[in-house]
Amino acid sequence: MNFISPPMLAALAGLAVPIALHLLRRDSGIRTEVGTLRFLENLPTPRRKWSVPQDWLLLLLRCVAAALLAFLFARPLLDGKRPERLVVIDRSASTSGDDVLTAARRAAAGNGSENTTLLDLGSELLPADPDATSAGRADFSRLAEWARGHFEGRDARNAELFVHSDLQWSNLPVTKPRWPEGLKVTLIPHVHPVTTNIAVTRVRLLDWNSKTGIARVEANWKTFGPLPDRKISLAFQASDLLGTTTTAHSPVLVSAQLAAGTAIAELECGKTPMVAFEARITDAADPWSFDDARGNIGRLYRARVAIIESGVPVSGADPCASYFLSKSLVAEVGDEKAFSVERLNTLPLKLDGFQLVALCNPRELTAEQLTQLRGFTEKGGGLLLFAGQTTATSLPTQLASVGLLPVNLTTSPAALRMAARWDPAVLGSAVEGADPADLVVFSRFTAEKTADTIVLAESTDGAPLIAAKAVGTGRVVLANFAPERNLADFPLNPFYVPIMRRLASHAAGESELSLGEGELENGSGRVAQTKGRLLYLNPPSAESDTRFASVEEFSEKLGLDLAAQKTPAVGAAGTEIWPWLALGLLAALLIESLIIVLRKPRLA
Amino acid sequence: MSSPSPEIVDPADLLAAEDLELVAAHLVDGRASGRNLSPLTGEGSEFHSHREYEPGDDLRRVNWRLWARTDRLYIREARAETNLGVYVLLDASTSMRPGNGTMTKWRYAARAGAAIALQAARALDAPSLTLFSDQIRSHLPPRGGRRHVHDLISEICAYHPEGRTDLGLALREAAPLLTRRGIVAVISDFMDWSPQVVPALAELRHQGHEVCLIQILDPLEQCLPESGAFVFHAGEEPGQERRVDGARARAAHTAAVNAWLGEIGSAAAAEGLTWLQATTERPLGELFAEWMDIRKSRRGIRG
Repeated sequence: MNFISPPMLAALAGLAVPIALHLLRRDSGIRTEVGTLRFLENLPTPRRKWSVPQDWLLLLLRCVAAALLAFLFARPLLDGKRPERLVVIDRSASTSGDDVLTAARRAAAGNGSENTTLLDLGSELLPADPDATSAGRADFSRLAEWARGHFEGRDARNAELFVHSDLQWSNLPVTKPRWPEGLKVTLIPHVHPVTTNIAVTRVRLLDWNSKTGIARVEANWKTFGPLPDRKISLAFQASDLLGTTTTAHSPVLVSAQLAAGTAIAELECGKTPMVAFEARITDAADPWSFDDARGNIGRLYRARVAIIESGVPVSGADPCASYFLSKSLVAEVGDEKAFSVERLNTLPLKLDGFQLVALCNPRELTAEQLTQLRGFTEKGGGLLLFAGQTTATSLPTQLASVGLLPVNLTTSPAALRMAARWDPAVLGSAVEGADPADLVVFSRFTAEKTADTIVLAESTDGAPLIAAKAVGTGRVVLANFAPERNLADFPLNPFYVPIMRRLASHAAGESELSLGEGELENGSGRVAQTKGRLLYLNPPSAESDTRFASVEEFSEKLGLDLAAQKTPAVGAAGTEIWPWLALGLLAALLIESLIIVLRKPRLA
Repeated sequence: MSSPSPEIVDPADLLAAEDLELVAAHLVDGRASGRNLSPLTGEGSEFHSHREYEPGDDLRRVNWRLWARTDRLYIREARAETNLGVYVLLDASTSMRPGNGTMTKWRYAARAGAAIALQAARALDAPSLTLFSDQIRSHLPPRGGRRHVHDLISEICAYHPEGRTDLGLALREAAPLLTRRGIVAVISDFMDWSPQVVPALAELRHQGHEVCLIQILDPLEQCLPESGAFVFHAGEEPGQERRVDGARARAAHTAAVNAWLGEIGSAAAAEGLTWLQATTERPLGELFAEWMDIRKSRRGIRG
């Protein structure tokens, strides 16, 4: 048997009351008036209290009643288990400091008992792993969502949730999460001593000489917390799509005197069209160690793209068509992306929510898939086709059978094709630096115009190189070349990315797509396009914010009942038997009353 | 008319002398016992009138000559007891206050006294009332008429038992007040019974009165309960109390009480007194029925 309120068992001390009363109280008997006392002389007097059997019964009944009352307040449970306990450990990056995570794990072990589940909370909720390190943010919204699912259809009042956290402000969700009804959530703070963090707040491309391939990059940094007595420097790194990286270090900065600052470095980036620039704080004494903790910024997607490429590894180590295409479509500023890209091996069962499907070297499609694509496009979706190296030769026929092919394609030996003319409205104008001569590709198919063909780019032999066709309220765009560089160096062309993005935008119908300042949840970021080159900008580090909240503030932001946290533990699973105890108490009192009544003088 | 004593009248009932009259009438009419109390009086040798025979009438009073003539049964009504004094001596001392049964001894005694007085009045006799404790507290001389009965009953209602009991002294004081021959009903618990009381009672007998002792006890005075602890106290013995274990003391107590009752009974029998004993639990009608049977058997014996 377990008890919901074990401290109430202290009321069993009340058993001393009836015992004491029985021992101390003189039985004065029933006072009765009679006419004379002379017949009552020298008669036996009442014995001491405890030697009268009936009084033993009364004492027992009163003790039983007192015990039942104590048990009633303690709320016993029959065949009950201990309360279900969920112990969650905040494993966000900030808990790595000052051994907060270690302390939290040790304390969480103290919460454990039977029926306890230990969980680690980061960006996901996972079973506790004592060897796991701190990383990322603690997503309390995900925790609340998990709890709602965990207690769905069950009474959450029989459970307790303990959260060990350093209560960092940056981990608070934007909106208050919704917790299961009745669940008692207790925050257990693990307070950091005062710490300092230094983080890069912005990276900016100042200049990029396309001839020399030297880029000048500026990074802003800031100290969060008290100024440390450390020497730091900034490490810059540029990396291109091919995995080539170059690094540079700023001069050593004396951090003790500076709360913020700027560093500039020159990096050799070559001529590749996509380069990522990063800057990180490094310990001047150990330039190869990186102290920065990077967090997430809100995502902004303008189009959702499914890139289908079958039978090839989805890996950056061996770039494939879909990899090239996806990288070109994604312009990340922090996590801002113009396109939300999903690379898939096969067409998803449902295309709801997608604006564009790009087929890169697809295998043959089934009849259902063809019907699905037809319907998707008719309803406004965009279809971007690449006649790549491994495109199934039967695919053009399949697509034509459902009216999804803008041109007639016939297989032919691979031939080098160069764009002669193209639609500047779609593919870019000379003012923007677009040059059709940059589009030199190999293709395996010969394209012929049809009555519905809209030519976006024409090769020198007059055949369509890039064509489009309206289907319903959607559009199909066909590029008679591969998006990867197996058949051409096109992906290395500085104009590759813009063309890919324009094709995707045109197919998706996002003709008004514009890049520039993104709307972000936190921090700031920019997408700058300089001569067709995209930039990655280092996001502000949310984890660098060393502000911590109090339990009250954190509870209020999480929508927790602070008063409930201070109340005793909630009930445990099991059957409450208090009604039976109340019945027993009533019966004991009734029997006691009956005995007292029956003890009244009875007439002979 | 003085206000009635609440000890006599049931608090739920109308507190008026008429209430006790109703009770008395109820008893007298035989609705309680099923027997008419008229034989209590009306016995005598002087012919008064004839009335038609009713089942239960004494066959010896049937006028057989009249039956022979009329072929109908008639009873000779005697007039010998007309203006017979019926003296109710009612113990109004403190010892009459206890009431552990359905009513107090005083209330029971008051009902008995009222019933006797009312019956006497109906039988054209003259009821009298004497309230006593250690002396005469109140006396209403014998008189006939309904109004006198009403005053008598009101006097009972207005009285509250108090004072010590001295039966012997009260009887000696009351004797001169009993001017005409009649029936003397002494209603008391006889708690202060002693051999000195017997001569006073015998004197009344010698004066030609028919004396009936109606002893009323509380149920606890006669027999202790089978179990329980009690602390007894008596109004006439202030400052004293006795703690008694009912289960263990019952036998000894009963023996003592029975011995005492036996003493009274023997003394009464020796002096030719009628002695009726009851607790407040005993129906009054039953008590009166016993009295009638005794009187009847005595008349039968006397022939």
